[in-house]
Amino acid sequence: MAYTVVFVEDEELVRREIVSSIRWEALGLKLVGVAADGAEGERLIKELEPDIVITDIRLPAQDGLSMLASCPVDHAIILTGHTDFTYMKQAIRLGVFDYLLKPVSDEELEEALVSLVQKIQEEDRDVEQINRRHREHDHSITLPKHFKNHVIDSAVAFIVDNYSQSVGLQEAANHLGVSESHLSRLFKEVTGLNFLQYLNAYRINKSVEAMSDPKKNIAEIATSCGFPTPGYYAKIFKRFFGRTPTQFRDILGSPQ
Amino acid sequence: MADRSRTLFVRLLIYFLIVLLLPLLVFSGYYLFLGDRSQSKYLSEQSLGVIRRDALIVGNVLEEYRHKAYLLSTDELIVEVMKHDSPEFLNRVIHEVYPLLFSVMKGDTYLASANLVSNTGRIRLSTHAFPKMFDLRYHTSTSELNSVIAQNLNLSQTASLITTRGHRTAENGRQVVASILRRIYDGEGTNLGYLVIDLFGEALSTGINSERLFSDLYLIDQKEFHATSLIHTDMHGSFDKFPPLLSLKGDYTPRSVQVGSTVVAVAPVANTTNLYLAGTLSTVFFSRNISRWYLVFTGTLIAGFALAMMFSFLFSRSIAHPIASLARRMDRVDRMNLETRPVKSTITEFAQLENSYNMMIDQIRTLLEQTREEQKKLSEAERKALESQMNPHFLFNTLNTIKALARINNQEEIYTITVKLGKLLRSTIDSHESEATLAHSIALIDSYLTIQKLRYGEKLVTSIHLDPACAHIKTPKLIIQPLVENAIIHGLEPKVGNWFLAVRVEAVGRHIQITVEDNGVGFDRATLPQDLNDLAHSTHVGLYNVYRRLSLAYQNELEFSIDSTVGKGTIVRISLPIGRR
Repeated sequence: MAYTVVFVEDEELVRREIVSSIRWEALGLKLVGVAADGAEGERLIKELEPDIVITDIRLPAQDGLSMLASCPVDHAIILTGHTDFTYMKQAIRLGVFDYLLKPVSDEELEEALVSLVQKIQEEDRDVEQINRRHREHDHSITLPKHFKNHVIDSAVAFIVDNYSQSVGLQEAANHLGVSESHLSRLFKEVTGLNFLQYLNAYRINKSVEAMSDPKKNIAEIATSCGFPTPGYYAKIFKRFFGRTPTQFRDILGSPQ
Repeated sequence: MADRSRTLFVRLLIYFLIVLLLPLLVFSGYYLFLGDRSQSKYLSEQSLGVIRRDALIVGNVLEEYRHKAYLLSTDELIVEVMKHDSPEFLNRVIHEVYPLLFSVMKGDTYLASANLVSNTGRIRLSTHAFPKMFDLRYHTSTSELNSVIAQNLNLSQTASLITTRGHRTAENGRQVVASILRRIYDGEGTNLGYLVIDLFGEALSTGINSERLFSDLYLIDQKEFHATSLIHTDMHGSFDKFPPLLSLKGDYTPRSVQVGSTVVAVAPVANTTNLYLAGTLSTVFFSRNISRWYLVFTGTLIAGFALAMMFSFLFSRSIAHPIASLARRMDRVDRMNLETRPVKSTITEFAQLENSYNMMIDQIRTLLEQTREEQKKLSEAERKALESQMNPHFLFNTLNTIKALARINNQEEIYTITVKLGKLLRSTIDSHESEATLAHSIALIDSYLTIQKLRYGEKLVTSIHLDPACAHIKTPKLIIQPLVENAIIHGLEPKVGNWFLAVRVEAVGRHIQITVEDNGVGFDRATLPQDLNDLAHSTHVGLYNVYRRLSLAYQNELEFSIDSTVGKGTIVRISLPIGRR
């Protein structure tokens, strides 16, 4: 299945050129939406929930970075003429995959997309692995809580304590006093899983527990489990269980 | 804290003043508060000592004359004369009597007179004119002598009486201050007459008050309440006449008493029972002396203070001045005023301090100059890359649009040249780093050469080699690019025929070898100066900038050589150390 892409760029010529020149299918991608400003981009992203967003920074209505901040975007590539340090810092904080400076050759953009696709595939393999190895039954994912590593045990404890907050790799690394890259590498090494996938899996488990309370709707559950939006929650959920939370709840709720 | 901090100078001044003035203050305080008392105590002690000594002297003189009185009154010849009581008998022995009198008095006749008188008054002998008051022929029982005799001799028939009551002016004009009386007896104890030795003032006043300590000395007859001045011998009488003596209040134990501004000292006259010597002195005179002394003392003190202040000031300044001037100069460094001054202080440590400070400032200045120069060169290189500055974002976005247009219209060459130009401009004007990895530098050259190849077509053949071992090593940026640009503009462009340009970056041992070679027209090596620093003033300014920046960065470890042959081409070789500078 091809990964979906939304492309946001205000200059029409550039938009047309990228849309036509990049060999989307060959890269295993599908361009599902193109927007000319930040507001339209946000609407499209929320509606289409793409795997990848490619965006400029300077955009009408809303700049690319705040657009990314307000949407559940997993992977983003920035295309910009600006080398402003504050922009770059913000982009890094948002977990942007690459920051390409205009003029960008199509080859450069394609290279960046290739490595991003590889990364997403790796993450998917993680999810599959979790699903294959740690799924005892249909209702939860089994996640080991203890590893023979003090740092990782502390990182897991951090997830257990803070999953309901808006936290990520950066906060965990700060909390433990190690660098993000070190924690990321070590986590993968020790647990065989990506830190973010582990966190998401833990959150999904918690959300399944919360579903048993009939008074809570899906949106409330998403927020209480630390997901930024219900749409993003739904997307992650589907990745693990193959169906949306609503469908899952229906099945769960129907008398067996 | 701020108001507590004082300058070193003020602090030193205060310390010095304390150290210098403290002894002075203690000393003057002692004199101001205790000097008066000790002075008067000293005066009392001294006057007592003097009066004791003088009383001894007076006593000895009296004893001497009493002995004389004894010798005369018991002399057989004198007794014989008195016994006969007749002028005829006296006339017979007169030539023996007078020599006897004078021999006993031993020429003391200017100090005392010896007088003999018989009860009847018929015999009257004297070493001087016989005093009328002793002439018993004319005297009634109330006569002075009689009253003296009556009052005093009744107790001791044979003893000598020393009295001051007989005070009078003698016939020779001298003042009689004391008289020694003795009765003359025959063998059976019948009183025949009297011997009186009158002592003139000089007899007693000689040898006393040698220090002139006392303003007056009095011989006091305790029984008679009568005093006689030994200095002003005409003054005598009861104590009422001498008010200072009243302060003794009848107590004659040896001591000195101060009443008001007068000190009275008293001591018993030796060898007597009823005589005392008293001396008076006025402290007014001494006070006047002391106040004069105080004046001198205060003057000296003020001078001392002034000197102490002056020296404190000079000493403090000599210590504080070098420190303060150093501090001021350090302060100026804040405002980037990096001047050094010759070492001035004569204090070794300060001189060292100033020396090190000067060296430090020199180093800072050198470093600053280096940095400034480095920046200047860099910015010049950047300026050359883009002569007219415009908003780089506009430029880059425009290039991106051109690139998009080219792509849409299938203009592959425009597309390439636009992208490469963008890269080139990015790394020259949009990077604030002063260093770049060699991989980055080579990518830049690749972009540059790609554009040039599009311009010149197949005529330009290039070769770029980057040793992977060097790819991540950082060097000052824009080092190779100007050399490549030089090679094209000055070496290849004037040349007809094939153009070849090679750039090689290799690791050789602990060094990076960079070579830029072209087969262009070359140049006359004579135009190259021996010392590459002189390139600044030659036509090879671009080359000089590269060389200068590298030599600032690597100093002695840089090797830089230019080899050119006219018609054959040029090779520039640079060798840099790997690792930190």
